[in-house]
Amino acid sequence: MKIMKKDKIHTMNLDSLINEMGSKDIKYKKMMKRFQIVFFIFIFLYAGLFIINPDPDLTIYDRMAGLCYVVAFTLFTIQFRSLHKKFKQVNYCDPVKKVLKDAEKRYRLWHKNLLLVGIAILCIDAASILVMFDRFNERWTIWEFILIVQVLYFVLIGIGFTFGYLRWRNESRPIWLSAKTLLEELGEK
Amino acid sequence: MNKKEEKFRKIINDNEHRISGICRYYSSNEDDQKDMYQEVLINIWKSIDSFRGDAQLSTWIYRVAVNTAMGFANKEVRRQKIFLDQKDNSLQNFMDVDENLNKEKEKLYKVLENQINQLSVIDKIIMTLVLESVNHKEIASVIGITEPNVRVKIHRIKNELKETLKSFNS
Repeated sequence: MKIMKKDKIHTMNLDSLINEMGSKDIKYKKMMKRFQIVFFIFIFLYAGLFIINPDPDLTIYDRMAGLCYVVAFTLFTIQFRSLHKKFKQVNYCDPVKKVLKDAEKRYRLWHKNLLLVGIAILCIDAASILVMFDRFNERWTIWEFILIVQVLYFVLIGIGFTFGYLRWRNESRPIWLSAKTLLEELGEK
Repeated sequence: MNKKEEKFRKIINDNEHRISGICRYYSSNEDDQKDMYQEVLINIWKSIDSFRGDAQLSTWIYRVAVNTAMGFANKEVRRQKIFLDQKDNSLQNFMDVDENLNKEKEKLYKVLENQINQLSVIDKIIMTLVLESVNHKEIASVIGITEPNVRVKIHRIKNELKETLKSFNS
């Protein structure tokens, strides 16, 4: 049993871990910055189109939808800002254990911050219902309409999450697993 | 010369032996060692502003060197390996082996080198630092674990290597 554990540890590459971390950190930093800019543009765009716009054709539902969009994009921006900050702070002069702990946190699938993303997703969901409410309520009953929007929306979110998960599994999971195993070897997770 | 440059030069001058000492274990030939040495210098330059004096300068240097060495080794060998220099007696000292080793030294070093390369990644890092005569307190600070934990690990490594030595002698 001991030998098996040791073999497993031996195959863990701290070298490849740090190397991959270096290149991925740069890649993610750029990605986060881009996302941040896009969401920032969306905040102003939706605030202008749905809230500030004096067009009398805009209903109260449209304006409420606009508010939901603005809240959602603000939450997305906050989330990407915090991730961007996290990647900016990567320091390879830290003790090996801290480098590993940071990597384990950075590359894990679920973060506390994902709660913000969850709220943002629900805001967009609410906005989608509000913005289409007046346009479809003559063809379907309100419950049919809400059900159709929910199914479509969550199928799309599900597809998004599946792609996100697959990407995480291929790119980040090996780093996360290596960091986790090495931390276990150090006797602390 | 600006302040950063001046600080950098001083750090490198004072710690050249430490950096090259670590690089030696992670590359088998001189060219690779030089490349790695350069990479450590680049990382020191990048991180020089983050050195706040919380740790000893030598500890900080070892951290950068070890972290760089791990990353560098990947480019060359995919699997991190440790290389021992037979001219260096630090392994003999660590193992309490007679300094006047017979002709079998080369063979013994190969066996011990293989055994060291069977160790876990963290144990290999500890071994390189031990062979560099870094004290337990400093090793603990480089890795980020407690001093007793370092002692336990070193004791275990030593026992494993002694077992190898025993079978070699028999």
